[in-house]
Amino acid sequence: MKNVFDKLQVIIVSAVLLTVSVLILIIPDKTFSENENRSLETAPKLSAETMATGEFTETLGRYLADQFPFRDTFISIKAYGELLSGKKENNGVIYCEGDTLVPRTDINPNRLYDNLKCISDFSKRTGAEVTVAALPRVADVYSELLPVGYPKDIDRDIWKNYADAAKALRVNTADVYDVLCESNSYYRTDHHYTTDGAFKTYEILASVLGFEPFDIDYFKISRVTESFCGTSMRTSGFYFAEKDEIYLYRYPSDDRYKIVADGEEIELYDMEKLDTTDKYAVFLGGNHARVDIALESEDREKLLIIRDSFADSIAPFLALHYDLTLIDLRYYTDSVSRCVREEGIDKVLVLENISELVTAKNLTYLRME
Amino acid sequence: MVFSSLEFLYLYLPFCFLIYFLIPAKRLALRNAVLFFVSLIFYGWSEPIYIFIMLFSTFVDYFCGYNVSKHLDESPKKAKLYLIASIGINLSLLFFFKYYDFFADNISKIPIFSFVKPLGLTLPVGISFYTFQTMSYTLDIYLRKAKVQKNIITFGSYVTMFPQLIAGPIVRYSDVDDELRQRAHSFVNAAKGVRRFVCGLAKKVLLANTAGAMYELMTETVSSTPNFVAAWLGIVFFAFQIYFDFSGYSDMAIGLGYILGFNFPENFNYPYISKSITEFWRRWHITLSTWFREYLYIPLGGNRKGLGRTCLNLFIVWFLTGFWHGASWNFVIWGLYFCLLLIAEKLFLKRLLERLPVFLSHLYSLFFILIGWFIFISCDLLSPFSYLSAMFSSPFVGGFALYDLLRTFPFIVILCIAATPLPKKLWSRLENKEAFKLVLCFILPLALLLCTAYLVDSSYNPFLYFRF
Repeated sequence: MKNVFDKLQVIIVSAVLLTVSVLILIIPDKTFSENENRSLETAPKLSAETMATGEFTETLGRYLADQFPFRDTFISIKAYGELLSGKKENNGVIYCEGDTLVPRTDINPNRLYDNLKCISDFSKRTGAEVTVAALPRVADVYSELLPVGYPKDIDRDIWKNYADAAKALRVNTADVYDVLCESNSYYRTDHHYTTDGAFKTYEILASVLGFEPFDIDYFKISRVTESFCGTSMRTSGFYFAEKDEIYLYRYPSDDRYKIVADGEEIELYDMEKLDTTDKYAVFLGGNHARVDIALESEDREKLLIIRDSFADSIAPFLALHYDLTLIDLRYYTDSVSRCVREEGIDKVLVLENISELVTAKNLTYLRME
Repeated sequence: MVFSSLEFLYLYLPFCFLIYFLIPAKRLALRNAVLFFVSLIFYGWSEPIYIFIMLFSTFVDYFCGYNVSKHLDESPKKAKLYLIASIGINLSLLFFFKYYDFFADNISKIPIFSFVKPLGLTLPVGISFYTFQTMSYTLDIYLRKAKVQKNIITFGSYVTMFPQLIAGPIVRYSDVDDELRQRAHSFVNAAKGVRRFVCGLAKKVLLANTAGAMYELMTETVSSTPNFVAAWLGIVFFAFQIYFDFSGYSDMAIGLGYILGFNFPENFNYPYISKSITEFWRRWHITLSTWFREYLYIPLGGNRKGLGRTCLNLFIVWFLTGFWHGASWNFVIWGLYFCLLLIAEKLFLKRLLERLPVFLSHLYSLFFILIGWFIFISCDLLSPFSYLSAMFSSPFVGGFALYDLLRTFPFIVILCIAATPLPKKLWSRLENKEAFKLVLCFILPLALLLCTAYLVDSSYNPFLYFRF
């Protein structure tokens, strides 16, 4: 009787170790993680060569982490553990009131001036009328929810510096910051604006680019999912937060466009993406280097958008007024200037998240002749 | 392979304990053979080629130890020759793999030696730990502290023993001589081992890794917006990281030792509660200090040959202690920095400190320990000088420093408490209560699973001793 608890402790811990080992061995491998949107490591090949170089064991380590039984549950437990110990965030995402997940904004805005300079030079060189619309981050929109001590002044300074630099370089801007921040029209679990936010941005762009926007009543609004786990949720592991809803603003004959994405024909909405984890990709099917949206029956003004993923959900609105070319400088390797010349582009819109705009190096590609 | 990894916990450990304990306890030699075999797998996990170094070390020290013992009585000179051979070979290995590039790099700066090129070899993991361990075998035999081990497999199991192979404690041969020949395996010991192991794992995974991630975050803040709070917070987090990492590793090693029937020496004794630097070094990495004291400081004459000689001996010992931590100048400076403090304490500071209020001597010790850690990490910092200037001037707070300080405050309190003997005191009051033992049956597996959760989502799980 004396050592019964000692025995029990040893037995229970050994049982946990053994059970997990057996589960690792018998649970079939998955090849793709929907949550993380990436391929998973599969069982490493055992050979004399992979053994000798240590490649086998290296792959094995990644394989184990990727295929670990109840992986998502464990990740959630860790996220919860970080919150319980008072840290307020996990993997760089802050857990705020109302299940709002806010990515930290510690960025080094060292490219702010250079990038705006690239844009202004590009405008001068090509003669195209260029407008920049910098979109706020979740931390800007939900700033009142951020924990005590969060350096909001740093975030505000970036906007101020952006405005000053744009003014100094005479870059034409569309100011969407106030409207988007006041209307809270961002997802809680993702870094994008909601479709409502995209619509509000569209309204502001109308006054800057000079077109007559359609009224909200023109659109048929429908909820297409209520189980959207956004990027912030997936990187943070806060899977216990309430999921988001995605709405589509459809309008008559929004399927008549001819849309070509990197040589492939697609549609405005890729409804199949709603069955995957990356549900935001319902808009234009996710990232592409170049997308052309045209109405073959009419000859319309041409708008080129230097995009990041925010452009995908606003494209359906802008397509009502322009033939669009969306170029993503992270993937596009050709010259944008040549594209402007050859396609006869009238207007250019740089529509990017402020973080991207002040840190990314790829705007320098605008300098290509 | 490191202890705080999924492959160690869920593949290696069940595998090696299963075969180890399937062999009847009576066949100890066979169990030692299993230990030797699985330890080689452990060692060769990421660099299989280096298993040969391990086998080479085993063979050389077995051979030298055998001959030291054989000649010790009738021809001590011969015995000494074998001892020197063993030390020479071990140190050459260490020098070749760990220090060659450092010297090559420095020498090549002299114009006529510019042809000397670094080799760029991967440092065999734990080489500083196990060369010191194996050297202790021939030394212990020569000093008549241990008997010769005639079974090469058993001796091999000592050299390669996986629990303490790559990050200590540095087990001297005399510590485990008897246990290699005869040891008891029991549930009481195993339970003690399991508790110790889980405690060490939690220290490493829950405390050290998270503190380490905060340290990295602070260094980023310091480089983008230098400020006083971030700079000191960074050093404090590093101090917690290295302590919980290192002592957690030792706990895991000691725990595994208990399970296998060994009693390894303790390695840490709440170093951050020290009231002087002298005390700190009696509480920090005890097995290393002991090794240097037993095999270097005392043979050099220790403090018995006058003040001048004592200072010289201290200088030699601390120069090497610093250098042991990494082949880089900052570690040498780190060692000599402590040497200076220790000599100062020996000469006058100690008496002064004793007269001060206790909290001041704590403050004094912590301040100099933290400055020590700054020297220690300075080779990893992008610009150590701007970090240093942030510690002593520049704006008080800035960037994300205040936010990070506020949100990690509860965690810092946990770290502080965990670094004192308070949890241990609480433990010894509860230890013998039946109810607590029952509760432990649940806490242990839950703690293990919590650590697993942190490892599965391991954005940050460094091995700090890759340089040692």
